[in-house]
Amino acid sequence: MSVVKRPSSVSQWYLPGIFVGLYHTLKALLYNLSHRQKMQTLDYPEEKFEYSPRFKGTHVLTVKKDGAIRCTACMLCATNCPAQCITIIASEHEDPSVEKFPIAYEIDMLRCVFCGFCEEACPVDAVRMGPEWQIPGISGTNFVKGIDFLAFRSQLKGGISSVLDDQERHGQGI
Amino acid sequence: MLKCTINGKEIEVSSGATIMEAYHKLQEEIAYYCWHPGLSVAGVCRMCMVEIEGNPKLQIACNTPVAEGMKITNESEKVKESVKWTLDFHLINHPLDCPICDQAGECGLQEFYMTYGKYNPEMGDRKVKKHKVVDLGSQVVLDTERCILCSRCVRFTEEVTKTNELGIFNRGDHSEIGTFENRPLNNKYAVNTVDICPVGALTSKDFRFRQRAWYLKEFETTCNGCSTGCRVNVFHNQNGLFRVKPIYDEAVNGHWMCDEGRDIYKHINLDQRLRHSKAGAQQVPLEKALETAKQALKAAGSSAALLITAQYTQEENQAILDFFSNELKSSNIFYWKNNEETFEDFDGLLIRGDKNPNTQGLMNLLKEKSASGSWKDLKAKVESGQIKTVLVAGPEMLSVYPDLNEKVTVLSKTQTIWLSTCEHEFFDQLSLQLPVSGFAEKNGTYVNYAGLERKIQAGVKFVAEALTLQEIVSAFRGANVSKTNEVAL
Amino acid sequence: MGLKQRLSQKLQHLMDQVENQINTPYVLVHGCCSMEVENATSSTYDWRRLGFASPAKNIEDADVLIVGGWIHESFSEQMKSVYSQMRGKKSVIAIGACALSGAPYAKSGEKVIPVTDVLPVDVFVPGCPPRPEAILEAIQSVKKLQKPQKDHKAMLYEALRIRGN
Repeated sequence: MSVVKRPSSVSQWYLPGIFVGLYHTLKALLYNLSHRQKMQTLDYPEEKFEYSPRFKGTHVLTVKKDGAIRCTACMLCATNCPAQCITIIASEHEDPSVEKFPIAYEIDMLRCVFCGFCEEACPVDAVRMGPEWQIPGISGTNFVKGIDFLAFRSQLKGGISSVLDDQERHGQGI
Repeated sequence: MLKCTINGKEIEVSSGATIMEAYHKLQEEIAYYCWHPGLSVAGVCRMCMVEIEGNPKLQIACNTPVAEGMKITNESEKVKESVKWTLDFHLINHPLDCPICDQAGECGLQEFYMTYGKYNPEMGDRKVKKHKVVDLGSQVVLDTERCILCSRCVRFTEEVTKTNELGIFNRGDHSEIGTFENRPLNNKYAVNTVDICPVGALTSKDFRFRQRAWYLKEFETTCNGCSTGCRVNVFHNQNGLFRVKPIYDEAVNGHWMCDEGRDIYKHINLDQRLRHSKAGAQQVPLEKALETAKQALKAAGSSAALLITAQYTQEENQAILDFFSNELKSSNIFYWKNNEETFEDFDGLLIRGDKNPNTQGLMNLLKEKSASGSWKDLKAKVESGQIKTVLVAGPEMLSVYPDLNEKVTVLSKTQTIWLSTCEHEFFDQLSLQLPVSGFAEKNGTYVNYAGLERKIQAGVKFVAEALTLQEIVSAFRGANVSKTNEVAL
Repeated sequence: MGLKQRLSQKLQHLMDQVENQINTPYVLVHGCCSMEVENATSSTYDWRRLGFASPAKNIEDADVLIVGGWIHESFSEQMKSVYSQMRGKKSVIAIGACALSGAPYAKSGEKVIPVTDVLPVDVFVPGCPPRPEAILEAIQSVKKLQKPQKDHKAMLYEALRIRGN
């Protein structure tokens, strides 16, 4: 005995189906027109999506209180990166209390997977994942971003300070 | 011979040997900082504690002689606790410098902390601040805060180089390593102190901040700086060679190497190399260059000359001498000696005046062929017109051949094929240059001043067109030695 | 010309203008980036507001190719044939770190190649995966590339120059 429910012959006609569909479309259209705020579409350039503070966006290199970059070129972020997108060249600083700093810190944005491992690995809070998502570029744009972009781009307003400076730490005797 | 048991394993040692030497012979793990097989025993670090059956207190292994039937262990809880809290004492005033310290990845404190340490530091007082980035001479930088006062460097300058430049100043918490006024650490073996320092207190100016230790791979080879032929470890990655460290070789160099040998990696890196064959100042493809050379030598026949330096391996020397005597039937083989006056110098420790690694080997082969002249003979024959084609197996290390310019000028008057590892503008006057592999890129044998044979191995390859002399000879004989674009291992 | 013909011509002109404003994408995205492309298609980030039609079923109807997800070496032939079947002025948008460089699989030993080895790419969208807003920005860039804006200042100077002579 067959328990499969075959569709009845009436439901296989086209016109009733069309009218039912049109009814649903018009209902939604009239609802959207009268309740503009509750419409699901985000008008992207005019309205923006609000991101949580933990969003993992384009990297930020923090700066110390005197404006110099916090990174000490220890290369832990480059070692931990699963996509191998960070290139660092270290150099000697004249001030013996600073001693080591990066003259080149480059992240290849096309290789980065925005996993946040570099932020986890950094022992001095020099790299953080910032709040902006990545802007696409046409062919020929340079996607290898250096210190100028990562630490001092205009959205950062002069540089974000890191949590603890070495000078403070030395002063506390640690 | 005395018998003892270490960690449950039996071993026999000669009388007078200490427990530390027994551990080393058995290759068991034990923590230590101040002991070094090439230096005297200090017993200052107190890390190598062991428990000896019958002894209520722990003893240090480096200064306790083995007695018959001793049962020694360093795996008991008592020993592990002792090592852990001794490490705490070492770390009390140690600065949090791991991100900026070069020794990260190969540091003694990091290593034993991960094995024995892992405690919560209980020190509440402030750390003692000392001098940082102290310039100790032309090769070494000192950071006194990181120093754990194992005194290995002080004993090295006292016993090995006998120059006594380093000492420990002040007392207690404020002790630091230092040099005396107007006497910097400028002996020829200074960088060995960087090797033996277990922490990042002494760092080499040459290597400082250039690369992290865990990015480097290493391979064992023989130094080609002079005829001593110390055994060395060459560190590299895909960006080039970075540093050279000595390996223990009882017969040749013991535990040490000289500072001149630290520079032997520089000429192998890509920025100094000859990458393509050149005719004059123009680049030519490799096949064409080899063809030109082959035709020139075959045309010259028995009047072709070979000017050879002692910087090539035995196998290469054999190949090229055979080619000249069998195929070309030429007996014009000239040996280029670079510095006659200082050739027999010896500074008492490792540095010799003969700056070629394979002089003895070449001499042996030339004696067999019973044919060799010197540079003066070649110069006379070239100037008189008797010899019109010269194949020069040029030196790999250009800096130890001071009269290079003069020789190139003389040889540029006739058809010369110069085989070179490095690029130099002098060579653009010559009719043909072919790139050859450096010592880190080929397998072979060097024979040192005492007749001992030591092997070198190919650990990297930076210039794809660089050939060894055996490959050049086989190309002359008709084989195809085609190479692809530049590769780096 | 008769009224009927003039009207039909005007209608045709209008339809052409409308058609020029609309690009038809062909979506060749797999993996995690496909979720974000679906988001960009759906009602929250509707790309129809910017002038992209619903994704084409046939490649011949499309003029923008959207590529995303990792690309294995063995797929490059098919990808090239898909690209060659597009008609007219074609553009390519590449989405996500996998397509742009193969980087997430750099240490895996698999032969994952960047899309630039296979196709000529016009717009790169970095991210893993990129936000749908980034995809909308990319769509705007592509539209500028497909139909460059008239440089009104240059046209004015040209007209004045001709007038002056």
